[in-house]
Amino acid sequence: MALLLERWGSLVVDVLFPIATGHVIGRLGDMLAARGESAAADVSVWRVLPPKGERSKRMVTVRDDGGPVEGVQSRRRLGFNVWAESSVKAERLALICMGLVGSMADGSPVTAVDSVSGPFEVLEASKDLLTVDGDTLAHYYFSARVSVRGSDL
Amino acid sequence: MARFQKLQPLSTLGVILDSPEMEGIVSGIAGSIAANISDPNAAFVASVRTQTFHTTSGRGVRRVVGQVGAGPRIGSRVEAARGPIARALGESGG
Repeated sequence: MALLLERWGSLVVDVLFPIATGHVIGRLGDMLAARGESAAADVSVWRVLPPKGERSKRMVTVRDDGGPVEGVQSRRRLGFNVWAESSVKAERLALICMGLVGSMADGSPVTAVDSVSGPFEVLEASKDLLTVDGDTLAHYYFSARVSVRGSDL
Repeated sequence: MARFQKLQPLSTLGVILDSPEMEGIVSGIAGSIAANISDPNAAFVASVRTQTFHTTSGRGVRRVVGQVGAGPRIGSRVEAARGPIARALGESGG
């Protein structure tokens, strides 16, 4: 299998991959907005935490931890940090986001989502706790491997 | 008349997937992932452990599973903030 992948990889040289996080952030924001439940309402999705003045009580950040290229696909490990007003709300939001990310594969450009892991609660040191409008936010985290299709360079 | 070999049940794969040789391969992969983990938090890096487990799938196939993890309290915070284990997995091709 390794030899096959190596040969296949050597055949495909002129491939341009999309920025996976950009697509995932856009899709996740749209999918959350389309849901009617209160747990998914008013969620902002970012690449990194916004400045203090722009933070809301429900936020998600999507970080790309990299991954290998296999032929015309790039398999990226993405980390999702989720914040909300309470542990229960943050866990519920993280579970919704996890489900939405898992169903994101549409072929353009996300071809597959697997190795979804989490969510777990991140117990912050008191100095790292986020506060928005007087509410201390609870923090959850999950990760997933997202494969994206490249295009001709 | 041609004789067709009877297909072996899937569970016989367990002879290979659960073998000491496979455990050696899996622990080698887990070890290389652990060796690739770097982080400014030395306590986190020192807490990284690799383990192998023998499990059975829903179809009854016995197999070896490798796991790389860090001390839960340090690990969850560092992984959420910086993702060093995820990056090491990505670098290893996982």
